Amino acid sequence: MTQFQTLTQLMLKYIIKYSTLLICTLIWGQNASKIDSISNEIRYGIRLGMDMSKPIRMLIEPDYKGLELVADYRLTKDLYIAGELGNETKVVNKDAMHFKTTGTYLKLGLDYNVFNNWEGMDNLIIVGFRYGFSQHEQNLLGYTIRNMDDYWNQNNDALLSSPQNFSGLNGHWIELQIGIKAELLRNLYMGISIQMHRLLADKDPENFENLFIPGFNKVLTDNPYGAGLNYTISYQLPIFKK
Amino acid sequence: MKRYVYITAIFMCTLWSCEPDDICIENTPGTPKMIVVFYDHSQPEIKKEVSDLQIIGLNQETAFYVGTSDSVSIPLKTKELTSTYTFKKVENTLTHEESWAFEYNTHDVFISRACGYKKLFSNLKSERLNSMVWIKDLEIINDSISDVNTTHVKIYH
Repeated sequence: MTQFQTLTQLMLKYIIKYSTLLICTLIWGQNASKIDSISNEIRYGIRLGMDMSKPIRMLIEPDYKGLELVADYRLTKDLYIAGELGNETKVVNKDAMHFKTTGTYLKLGLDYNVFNNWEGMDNLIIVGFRYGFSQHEQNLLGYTIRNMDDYWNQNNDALLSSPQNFSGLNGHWIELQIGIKAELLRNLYMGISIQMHRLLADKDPENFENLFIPGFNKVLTDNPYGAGLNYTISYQLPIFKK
Repeated sequence: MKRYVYITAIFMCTLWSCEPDDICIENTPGTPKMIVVFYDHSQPEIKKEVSDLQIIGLNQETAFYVGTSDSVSIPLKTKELTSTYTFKKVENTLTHEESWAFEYNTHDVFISRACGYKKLFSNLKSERLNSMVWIKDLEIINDSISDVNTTHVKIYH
């Protein structure tokens, strides 16, 4: 609990710090643009990047490994087709459960820019929608037997001689993203987004449950909602201008 | 717009840190006990109290149950497949003792992240470890123990 709260606090700190930075950049960038007065051409291209929050999380959370690549392609002035591809491994040894989840996920959807740029600038405030799915496996490493009576002084920790493997699991969810992307240097963007997702369906292991789904994060028992965050650095490969 | 982004960010973080299901609620059913009900052997339909009953597990120093009752729920060992109990009845300052072994299979059933698993018992069998003293008959009427509302064992005396 405390570890997770610390993480949340840390993330919150990052959000505030980086969004302040981003907004300052946006404002600063706009002031600069007035002087430059670049053409009002819109650049179209593929933007490729990486989620930097995952390596940060790997530093503060020893039981976590993650990588996420992000990409988007501009369809119109404000509309982008966007997606994330990632891989996560998470070991949880908390409460009554000890397990490890490993898997890959893909999210696909659209980003809509609600920010009105000054001429020649290309910063974004994004409202995005995704459909996400994961292919993962879960390894049960140990658990506690709920036994309210200890007359026989039986140890309630079940030790598994070898991990019990549940493979071929999956999860499907929809996701709302809200974020900012700022062009720091020409074609180089820094972005931060918060995601709220709702689980639609998942294939649970037998006599166990999906307690963590890659890309979705922690799964709550009676609650289909979850949340995530990413902090991206991306580069736009310009294809054409219009 | 900036303000909305902040508010949304803070709101979402609040959602994220809220984790009610990390706590195993007190009354969540866990590993069930074996429910034993005492009946009159001459009138097998009628429950009959056992006066000054003591139930002690094999090699245990303290009694699990002391009192007068017509039904008792008894914990089974979760790490072994046999639990042996001695049923003592005091009558006119004389102690009558009988030992019974209960054999079973176990399997674990997932409850939740916070509560873990519970142990359920199946294929329950009993064995008298001495000649008959005060228990006329012991009948297993439900050989799988998975809830707390069913009688599993009837003892006629």
